[in-house]
Amino acid sequence: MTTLACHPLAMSRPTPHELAARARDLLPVLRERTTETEERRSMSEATIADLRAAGLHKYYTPARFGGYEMDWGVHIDIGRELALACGSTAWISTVVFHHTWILGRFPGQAQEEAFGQKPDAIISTGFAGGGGANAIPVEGGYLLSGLWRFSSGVDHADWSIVGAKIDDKRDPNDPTPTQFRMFLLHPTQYTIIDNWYAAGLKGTGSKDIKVENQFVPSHRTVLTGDLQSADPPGAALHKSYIYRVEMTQYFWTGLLGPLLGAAWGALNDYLEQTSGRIGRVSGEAIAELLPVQTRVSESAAEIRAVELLTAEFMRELHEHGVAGRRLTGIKRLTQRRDIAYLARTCVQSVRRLAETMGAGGQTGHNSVQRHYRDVRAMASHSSLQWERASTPYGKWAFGLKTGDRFVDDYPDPELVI
Amino acid sequence: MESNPGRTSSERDTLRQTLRGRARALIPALRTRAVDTEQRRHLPPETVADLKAAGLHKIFTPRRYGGFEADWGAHVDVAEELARGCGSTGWVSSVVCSHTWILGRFPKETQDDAFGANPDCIVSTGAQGGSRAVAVPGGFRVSGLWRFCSGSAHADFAIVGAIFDAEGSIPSRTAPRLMCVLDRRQFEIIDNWHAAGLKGTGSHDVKVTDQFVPKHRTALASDISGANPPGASVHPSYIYGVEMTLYFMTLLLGPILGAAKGGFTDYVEATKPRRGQTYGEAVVEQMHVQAAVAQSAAEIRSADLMGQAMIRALHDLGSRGRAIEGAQRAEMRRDLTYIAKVCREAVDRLSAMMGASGQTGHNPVHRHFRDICAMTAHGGVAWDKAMALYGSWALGRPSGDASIDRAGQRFSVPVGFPSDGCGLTGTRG
Repeated sequence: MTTLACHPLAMSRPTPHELAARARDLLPVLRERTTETEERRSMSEATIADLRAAGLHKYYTPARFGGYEMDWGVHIDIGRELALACGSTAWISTVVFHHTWILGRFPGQAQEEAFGQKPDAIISTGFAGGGGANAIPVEGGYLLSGLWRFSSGVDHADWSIVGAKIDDKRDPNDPTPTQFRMFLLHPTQYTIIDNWYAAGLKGTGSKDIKVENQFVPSHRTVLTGDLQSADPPGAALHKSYIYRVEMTQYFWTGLLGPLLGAAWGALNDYLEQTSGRIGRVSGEAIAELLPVQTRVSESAAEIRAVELLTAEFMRELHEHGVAGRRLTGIKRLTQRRDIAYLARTCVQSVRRLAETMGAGGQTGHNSVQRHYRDVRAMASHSSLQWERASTPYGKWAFGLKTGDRFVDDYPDPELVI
Repeated sequence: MESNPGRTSSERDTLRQTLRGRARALIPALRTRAVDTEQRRHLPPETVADLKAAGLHKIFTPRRYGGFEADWGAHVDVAEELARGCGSTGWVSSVVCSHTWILGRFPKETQDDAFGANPDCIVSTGAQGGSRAVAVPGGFRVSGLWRFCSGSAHADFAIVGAIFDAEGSIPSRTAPRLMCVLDRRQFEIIDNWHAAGLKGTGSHDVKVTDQFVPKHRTALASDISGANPPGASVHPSYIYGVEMTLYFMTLLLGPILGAAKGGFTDYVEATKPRRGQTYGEAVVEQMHVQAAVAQSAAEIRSADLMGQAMIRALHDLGSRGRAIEGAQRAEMRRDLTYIAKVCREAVDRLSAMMGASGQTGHNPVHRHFRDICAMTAHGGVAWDKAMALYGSWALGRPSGDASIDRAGQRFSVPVGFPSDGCGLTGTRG
């Protein structure tokens, strides 16, 4: 087993600033490849190699396996940088690459087998589809079958983690909740179905995977509830708090970097395209039009506003994590709400610009249009559905039960706004 | 360099907290008096007495005259709290504190004259209106009519801007402007503030008829509003030495945020027991109501964080003696205007969900909505004007504000997260 002190990769551990700067250095080449990336519908080997060379795949890989084991939050900085050029690459680098954090919470033996063989591991996941999948308990493990959808980055994954419900042949009247487990799969255990033909985030290769009757040993599985808890099996192996925080609140931040970066990228590219633009019919300078100026301004203010929100709840998550405190009460709901608010605000800020571009913004490979398609695809993620994310806050404000015991059991003295 | 050697930074923070706490303690009384305040069209005497007893009129009165000389932002904290209860009170508080700040920028002689005679003074100002000042031996003869002078009903002094007319000829718009400090007996209040919102601010017209103002009670407006005005060297705090415009505009921040928060809180309280008038369903169970409350809350929170970041930046730059120029200046104008819009929309959304009951009687949510509409109608946050300033700058055109344009900056995406916010690579690197 490798140790933290002598592992050569651990010795070259960059700071979060340095890692974000490495992401920034990749922007020109990513910009050149955007069309190719969209047409390929997946990352090119060249882009994956560039990301790996920069170490962007292991910010949350545990230090004992050669990763950087960084504090919570750096995935947002990296996503924000990369999405200035390419939303798909940013998605892979954050939403997919931060899955090493999840593996770091698995039982130790699973980690040894996965990271031990390949410290550079990229891990894809499949959660959508778990409800229809099935895992039958057998001697020493489970027999797993199912179809999982939208497994971003699976073409380049060294391992995949999927969730499935356990078929325990129970009495249908048994009121106890069905067990869900997470399974660590080797690529030899699933087939990739090449069916990602999207309008936005075209290049993420978020394809389906099919598993047929595969044996998964017990140590490569974990109860979903245990994995998400503040005391997952893998936590004891690592120093950082990130492997022992209650997972959900932290997991919800996964998509924010790409959203913010795509919004900034759209504004930046819009300004570049518009500052010298002349109306094709009447020849007027577009940049002199008052509505164009106010739109630019409002979109910029919106992105700034949601970045301030982001900085605020990321600080809270980090501080609670370091102190070993669970996030409870209104802070949970505020974060959930603000994350979804961020998503819809980013979409709105890009749409306001994209819709002034006329046909020129619809044709060819216009980058503002690409950012717009990307940001809409990002924001359509189920965790960002506005009503779902916002109504628990509304219920709380009115004094109703929210259904989250870490909120309902921690009443706040008064409505704080 | 620390520019306020009189107090440590933690003492100054404690002062801000103390002042905010005193304002918060007044909220229940202000809420009770809100209808009376609207009907009177100015603050009731007991409210003025409460504000004075809490010392809230002396936030920016210089220490050498018995004031608090607090750091920039104390007026925002206080007005925000007051406006949760009553927008008119929050407005008057923010405005009159900004006026004693302006008086603190006048020559020492003027300050000795005014603050010396009345350290507790409340100062109104008149900036909009027709006026002239004719030079005579020892001073000026001033006449004019100024509009919308908030707090004039309670004022001991008024500062009015007049076109300086050395020759006695017709004043032109480009002629230098003079600021004159007038005693209460020198101006007449024309009781004509009949507004839809901020009804209780007593923002009446002020009329001055051929009054003699001695020279030492006057200063050139450009000297007072520029950096390092005559009074700056008299006081230890940086606040009297900063260039005025952007700092002055933050007087809008506290009342706007407070009215939004007050509107939100009052809406939630009013809605908790509410049932549909026709079918008797519980309104709080409705998903669109829950989602709308969340949307307004998120908007108010983001506006609040933006306002705090702006105040922090103004304090940091001001206390370091640094001017606000270039992109940052354009961004502050933009953000202040954005805050105003977002807060107005947040209350509008809630007020609009209250049906007819939100329109009738003395519904507090509707009052907050009317107040925030009046507040955000202020020229300092006029949407097209402020937003176009940033927009034209970002599009590579002259913004029209020399302090923005002469810096010669171009738009670029900020590197990393806002370090004025923050928690990511901005501060943790």
